[in-house]
Amino acid sequence: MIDRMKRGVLWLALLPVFLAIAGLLWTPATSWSAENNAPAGQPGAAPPPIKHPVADPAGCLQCHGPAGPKPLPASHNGRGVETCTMCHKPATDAGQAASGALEATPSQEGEKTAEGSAPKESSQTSTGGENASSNCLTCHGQVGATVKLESGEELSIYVDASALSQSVHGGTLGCTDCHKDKTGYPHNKLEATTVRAYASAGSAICSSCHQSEREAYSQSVHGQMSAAGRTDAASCADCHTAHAVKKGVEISYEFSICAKCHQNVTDSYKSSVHGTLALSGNKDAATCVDCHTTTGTAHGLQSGSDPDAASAPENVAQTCGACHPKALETYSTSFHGKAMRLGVTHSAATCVDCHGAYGVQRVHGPEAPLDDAKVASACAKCHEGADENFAKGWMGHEEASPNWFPAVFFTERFLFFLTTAVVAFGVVHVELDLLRWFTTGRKKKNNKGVKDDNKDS
Amino acid sequence: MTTKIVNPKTQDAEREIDEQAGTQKGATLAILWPFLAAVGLMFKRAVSSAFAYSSEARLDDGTEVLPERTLSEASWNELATAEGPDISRFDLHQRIQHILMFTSFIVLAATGLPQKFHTFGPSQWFITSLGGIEMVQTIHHVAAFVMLFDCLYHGVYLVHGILRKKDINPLRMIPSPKDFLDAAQMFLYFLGISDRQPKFDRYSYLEKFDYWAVFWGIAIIGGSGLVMLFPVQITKVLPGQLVPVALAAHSDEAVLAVGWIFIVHLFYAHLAPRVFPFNTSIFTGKVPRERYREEHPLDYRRILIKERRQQVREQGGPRLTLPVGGGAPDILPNPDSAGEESTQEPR
Repeated sequence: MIDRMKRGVLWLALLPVFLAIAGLLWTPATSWSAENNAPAGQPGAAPPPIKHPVADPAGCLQCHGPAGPKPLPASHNGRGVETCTMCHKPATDAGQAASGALEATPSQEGEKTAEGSAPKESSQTSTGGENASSNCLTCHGQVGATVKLESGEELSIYVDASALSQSVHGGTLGCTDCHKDKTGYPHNKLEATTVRAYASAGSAICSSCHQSEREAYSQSVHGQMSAAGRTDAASCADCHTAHAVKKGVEISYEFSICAKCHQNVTDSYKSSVHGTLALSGNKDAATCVDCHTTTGTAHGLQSGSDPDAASAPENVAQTCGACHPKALETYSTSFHGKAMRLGVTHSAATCVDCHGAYGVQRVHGPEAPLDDAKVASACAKCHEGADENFAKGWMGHEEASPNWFPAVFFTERFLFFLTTAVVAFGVVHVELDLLRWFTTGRKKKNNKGVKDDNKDS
Repeated sequence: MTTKIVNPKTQDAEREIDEQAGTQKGATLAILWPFLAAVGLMFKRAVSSAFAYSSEARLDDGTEVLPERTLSEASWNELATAEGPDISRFDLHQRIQHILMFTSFIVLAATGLPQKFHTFGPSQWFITSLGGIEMVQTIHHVAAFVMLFDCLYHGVYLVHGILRKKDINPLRMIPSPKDFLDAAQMFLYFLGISDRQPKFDRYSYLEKFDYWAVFWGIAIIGGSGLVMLFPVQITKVLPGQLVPVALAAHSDEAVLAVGWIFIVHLFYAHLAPRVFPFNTSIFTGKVPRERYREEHPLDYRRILIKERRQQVREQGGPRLTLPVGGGAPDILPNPDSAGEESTQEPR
């Protein structure tokens, strides 16, 4: 016994030591990954330069592939090996490699090529791009420059160089990194015949690096429409813009981007509780993306008619509940919520049936008392003939309490105690009966107990 | 009788008022007291006349029999252990009513509980395997109307039985003070404090509870169910708050009903050692004489008297006259004197 206690105390004493050793072993690993991954993940930070000689750029993935000793960060998944050197410059001087490609001068490039053991091919590509950047701007730097397409539409070919250098691609990508076919002049003839066709085709350029986004996009309603040949479907540049490219997190709350095509709904959105908040500069206010994706990024935007969509009747409550958890809780225990959960998806009321979808409004709240007439009109959408008296039975998203629907509260209370008391009485009755039977009941039977029982009285 | 009580009390009260110089409370009491006393007395008389089985034990010639007081236990036991056919406890209507009741109850519970506990995995499986929630709700509504029909049936049966057939057995279902004493005695017996079990009349306190639980349960569950089924129409007449109240009450009360039926009722009907494994009484209407004597000794005495009376009427026999307050009476039939007595039988 004492031995056991001693052993227990010993283990307890050793536990912090074990934990300390584990901590020491763990720390280098985390600091290593932070050192290697964090800069790549941070927006706008320059990609780390290649610190070693590169014999063959096609061989990057031998070491940096998923199975290699220094695998790529997860954000790079899907990018082809030919794109490595677009961002990661093979340079001895880290500072130079990180400096903007547009600003890079030919002399610097020359140094680089001379000093570094970078392969010819890669340095040629990048030099070509940078030279082109300054060359390109002689034409494309003209404000208002356009070309006429076959359809007769005019396609703007003006590029704001400062917008490009301040964009997320600024300092890493030059003109010909994206416009690969425009290395010479005159350029090859444009395949696109309309402005929209040109914009739509541009997505292919982005997806040579942003493959995972491309995949997500192809599942989205925009991507599916685009794949079906609809050139009016939003493509990469419609949201991110072509040259002043912004990261998704910076633009996802900008409903004005969606409004470019979806004017009809953004108008009512602007007057909604969400819209007024968003317009006042509150970035927590729900915008288009918050309700139209389940993935949280605009690349997975779904059509409302898609049964898996965040805005489909089955999922509306969950979608709204992400920000309104209390409403979700009371909804899911309500008659409507139960019906929805149990599959009455075509007729059970969801959030939007009472509050509206784009023009979502607060039906009532602390500052606005419940307007029975307003509620009744919402009820009457499904409950034909519902009047204000019917609407008075709507508890809103509040639990019953002595102040709020006391009749419901005390009914629940009363029945809870009644049920507990009655069932407890029954259980005790049965148990005691069995107990008595087990202890004396069987004996009695042997003695013809029935008769004795009567004689007692 | 009542006036005799009222007058002195009123005078007392008047005196009191004089003393207290018109206190409101005193005045109210003074006015109410005689009424309360009268009502109390009337209630006591009503109860004692309705529940004293002595009234049933009045013989055809009008002789009143008070078995409990007049018969020695020895004679009762001798009489009671006599062989005989099974006791008829439930008539055909009652049996049909019970079948309708338990089938609809089981269907309602099976289709209702998964709706209350809808997040529970097996509930969802059950609902989808029945063909979706709308199918489940339809089944629930159909079963509910079967149960409501059963209630109407029972109501008509009661009224007809009591008023037309003059059957007062249903009235014995009304709770009486004896039930509380019986329950207390039962618990004393369970706990080993007493060795005497309570003697039940036609319905034991548990059976009465079963019946009245169904009665109030159907009032609450059926009423709230109708409110939920026709919320718009109901709120044209009744307050709107009734709808959430009905929603809360419906399933909470249903849980109580299911708990009671499946724990207590099922135990005492089928699982108790006395009847295990299956009690056929509610289907056949018959209870073995031996068991009925054990379970409902007081009603059994009444049945014996009835049977005796029937026997006398049919075959003739000694009249069951009992000297009230006398010594050990002889109530056992005397077949030898049957012929003589039959001529003198009234009616």
